[in-house]
Amino acid sequence: MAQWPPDRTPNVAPDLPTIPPSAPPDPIDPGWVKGLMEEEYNARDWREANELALLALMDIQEHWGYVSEDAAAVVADHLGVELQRVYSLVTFYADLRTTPRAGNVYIACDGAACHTLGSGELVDRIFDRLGITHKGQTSPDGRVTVELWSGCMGACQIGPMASVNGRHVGFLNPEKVDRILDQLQGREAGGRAGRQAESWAEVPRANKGSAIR
Amino acid sequence: MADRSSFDRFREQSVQAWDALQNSDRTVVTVALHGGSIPAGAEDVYQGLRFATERRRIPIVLRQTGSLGFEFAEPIVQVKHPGGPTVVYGQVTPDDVVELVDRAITNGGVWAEKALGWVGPDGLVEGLPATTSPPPGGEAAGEPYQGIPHLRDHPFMRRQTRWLMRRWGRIDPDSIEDYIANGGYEGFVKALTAMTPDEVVEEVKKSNVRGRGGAGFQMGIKWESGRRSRGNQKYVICNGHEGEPNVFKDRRTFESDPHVVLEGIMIGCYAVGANIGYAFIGGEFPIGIKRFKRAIKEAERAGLLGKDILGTGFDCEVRVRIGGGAYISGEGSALIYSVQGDRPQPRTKPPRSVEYGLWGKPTVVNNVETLANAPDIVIHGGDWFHAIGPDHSTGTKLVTIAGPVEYTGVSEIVMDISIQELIDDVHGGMRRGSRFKGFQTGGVSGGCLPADQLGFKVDFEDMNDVGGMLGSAGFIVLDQHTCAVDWARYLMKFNADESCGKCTPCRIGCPALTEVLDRIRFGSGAESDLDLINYAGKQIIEISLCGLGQAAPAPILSLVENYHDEFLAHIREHACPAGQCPIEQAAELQFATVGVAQTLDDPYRIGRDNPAPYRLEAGEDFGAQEVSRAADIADADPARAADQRTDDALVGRPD
Ligand SMILES: Cc1cc2nc3c(=O)[nH]c(=O)nc-3n(C[C@H](O)[C@H](O)[C@H](O)COP(=O)(O)O)c2cc1C
Ligand code: SF4
Ligand code: FES
Repeated sequence: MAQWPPDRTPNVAPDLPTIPPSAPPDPIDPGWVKGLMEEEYNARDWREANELALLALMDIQEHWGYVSEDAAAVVADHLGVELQRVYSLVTFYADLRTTPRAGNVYIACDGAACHTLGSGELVDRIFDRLGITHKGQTSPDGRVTVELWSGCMGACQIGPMASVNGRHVGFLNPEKVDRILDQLQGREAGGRAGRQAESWAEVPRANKGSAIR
Repeated sequence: MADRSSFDRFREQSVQAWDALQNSDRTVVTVALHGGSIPAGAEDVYQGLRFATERRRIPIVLRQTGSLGFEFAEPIVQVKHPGGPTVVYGQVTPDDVVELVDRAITNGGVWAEKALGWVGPDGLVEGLPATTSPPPGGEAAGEPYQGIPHLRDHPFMRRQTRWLMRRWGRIDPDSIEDYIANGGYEGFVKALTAMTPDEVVEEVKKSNVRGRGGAGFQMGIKWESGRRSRGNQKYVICNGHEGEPNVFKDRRTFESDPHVVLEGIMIGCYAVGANIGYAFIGGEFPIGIKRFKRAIKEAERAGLLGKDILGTGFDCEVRVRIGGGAYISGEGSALIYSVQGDRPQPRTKPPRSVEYGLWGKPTVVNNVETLANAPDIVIHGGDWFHAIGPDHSTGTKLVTIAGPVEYTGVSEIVMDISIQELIDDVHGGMRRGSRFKGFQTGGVSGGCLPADQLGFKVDFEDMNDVGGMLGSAGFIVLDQHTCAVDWARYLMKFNADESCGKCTPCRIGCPALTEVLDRIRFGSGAESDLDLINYAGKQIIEISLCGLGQAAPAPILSLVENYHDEFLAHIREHACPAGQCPIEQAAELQFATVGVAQTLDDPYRIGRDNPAPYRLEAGEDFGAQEVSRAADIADADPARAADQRTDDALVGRPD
C-alpha cells in the first residue's frame, strides 16, 4: 500500500478556478429596498424595529454592493427609526460601504494565517499594480475594487487566499495574482505572467512586508 | 410536539431512518460541504459525483455533511459500501471524481492511496462508555480494513479526544432527524421534563465549565446570577461572532452541527428563565447562518421551539442576528448594542450584562462552544464533565492552529497536553522548510511564546501564568519567515483598525504604537522606541475601557521581550533577519505618518468626512504626537509634509 497517511501537500499547486464575470453595479433602486422591507422586515415592536435595521442594511449591501443614503432613508422610514441612527451603522461596520464598488471585487484575506503565509506581499503587489493606496478603493480604470479582510475567511488551509467576485481562490502567488488582475481588468491573460508554479512548496513566501495597508 | 411521548416517537423514527441509512443496500457517499471545503472545490466534487453516478446509473445515496476537522485534507469524501465501514478519502479534487467512482464506488473497492482511514458506525468515539467516564483518549481503535488503518490512528487524531465534535462529519447538518438519532435534544428534553431550572444551573456549576469565548468565566456562575437577577423578561445571547483573524471553530460548529448550539441556547433559556434567545452570528460565514436558520425552522416544525414546548408550559423563541464585520461587536456589551441595532461600542461595567443587558433586561452572553457543552452536561451530569481534564479547565476544547503546520484544521483536546505536544503530536509539527519560531496565543490578544516556553500546558491557568492566553484557543505558529517586528505591527494594526474609537487610550494609542512599530520596520527606529512601546503599552492596558484595548499591547510587549535581539537588529544594524521588513524603503514611511500631519493641519477634517461618528482609520488621530513624535518627522522635512498634504488618496475613509 502507498504511504500512509497520504502526503499532506498536493503535488501540483491547484490552478485558479474560473472566476465568474461580474457586471458593474446599478444605482440602488429605492423601490427594491421598499419591497424588501415590506416583505421581510416587519417589526412587531419598536425594539425589534431597531434590531432589524442592521439586518436590512446587510441585505442591501449584499445585493447592491453598497448602501446609499437614500436606501438608508427608506430603511429608517419603514422601520420608524431615526435616519442618523441607521446611517451611523452604515459608517461603523466594516462590511457596509457608502459608495458603490466596481464590477469586480477582489477581497484579499489578510487574516493571521494568510499573513504568515505571505499575503502582505501580495497585497502590496496588487496595490502597486492597480495604483491604489488604501483598502476599499477602486482602481483608476474603474474595473476592480480591492477590499482587505482582516479577519479569517475560514479557508486558511488554502492560504494565502482571496475571494474574487465571490469565488475563493487559494495558494496565491504573485504570478496567479497577476493573472487574476489581467482577467479582471480585461487584458489578455499572461501579459506579465511567468511560469506556473509547479509545486506547492514553490509558492513563494513573503520576503518583504507591506509598506501600505 | 405535544408531550414527551411524541418526542420519543419522533426519536424512534429518526433512529430507524438513521439505521436504515447505515444498513442501506446502496453505497452511501458523503461529501463534506462547509466553509473550508467549498473553496477547495467540494461543491464541484458533489456535483461531479452526482453527475457521474447518474449517467452511469450507479445506485448510490449521496449525502452532505459538515467538517471532520481535517481541513488540510479537503475536499473529503466518505464512502460506505453495504456491510462495510466508512472509508474517508482526502484531497479528492474535482479531477479525481471519475477515478474515485471507478476505484472506490462501483465495485465495492477502496482507493488506498487517497484513504485517510476508516471509521465504524459510531464514528470517532468508538465504544464510548457514555455516562460513566470521560471519553477515551488516544488508544488505537481497530484492525486495518483492506490495508487502511482506522482514522483514529491518523497522526492528527491520535492525541485528540473527539467528544463535542462527535457528530461532525457524520450527520447532515440540515437534518434534525440525523441529529436526534445521534442523541440530539435529549439534554433539552431531560432538562424540561425531569429537572427544575435550579437543578440545571446546579449541574452546570458542578461541571466547572469555563467560557470558551475569551475570558474563561465560569458558565455556572454566570447562569446563576442570570437566574437570580429579577426581571419580567430575560435573554440569552449566543456569541457566535468570531471576528479574530485566525479562529474558525465556532463557524465550523454552526456549519457542522448547528442543532447542538440551538439546544444549548434552549437549555440556557430554560435555566435562566428567559424565553427569547438570540444567536449573533458573524456575517462572514453565510453557510453557517443558512444552516442555523434552517435548524431553527426544523426545531419549530418539530415542536421543540415555540409555545408550550412538550406540554410543559415553557415558551422559547430563538432569533438570528447577523454581525457586520466589526471585531469589537464580539465583546459582551458591544454585542448587546449590536443586537439592539446600536453602534457596537462597549460600555463601562458594572452593571454587568446579567443585570442590565439587552434592552435593559438581564442577559446571559455565552460563546457558541460553551453553550454546545450544555446538552452533555445535562445528560451526563456535572460530575461527569468535571472528571474530564484538570480541575481548573474541565471538558474538551476545540483548537484551531493556523500557520505553517502540517495539519491545519479543527482539533479537539482534553486540556492536559502541552503546547509542544499540541503542535507536534496533534497538528503534525512544522511543514517542510519551516522552522519553529513563535507561538501566538489568544488570537490577537495574548503573548507570543518562544521555543523554550512550549512545555506549558494548553489550559486556562498555565497559559495565563506564562503570559499567554487561552482565549478562544485560536493559535498561530510562526516560522523563520515571519519577522517579529512585522508580526507585532500586523497585530497592532489589526487592533488599531478594529478599535471602536470610544475611549482615548485605545483609539489614539493603538495607531500610535503602529506608527512606532512602522518606524522600526522601516529601519528608522531608535532604541528609545522600545521603552516608548513598553511605557505606552502599559498605559493602554491600564486605562482602556474594554478588553480590546486592555489586551492589544500585550502581544507587542511580549514580542519585544522575547525577540529583543530582532528588534535591536532593526534599530542598530538596519537589518531584518527574517528578510521581511521593507527596511530599504524608508521613503515609504510617509504613508505611516501622513494622517497625523494632515489632521493637525485641519482638525475639522474628520468631522467633515464622517458625518456620523466615525470608524477610526490609522493615522486619523489628533494629538498622537506626544506619544509618537510623528509630527516631528513631518516638521523636520517640510517638503515631504507638503507632498503629503496633496496626497488625497489617503484622506479620510477609503470609500
Ligand atoms: C475585543 C473582544 C472581542 C471578543 N470577541 C469575541 C468573539 O468573537 N466571540 C466570543 O465568543 N467572545 C468574544 N469575546 C469575549 C466576550 O466578551 C465574552 O467574554 C464571551 O462571549 C462570553 O462567553 P463565554 O463566557 O462563554 O466565554 C470578545 C471579547 C473582546 C474584549
Ligand atoms: S478599548 Fe478600544 S475598543 Fe474598547 S471601548 Fe476603548 S476604544 Fe473601544
Ligand atoms: S487567515 Fe486567510 S483564510 Fe484564514
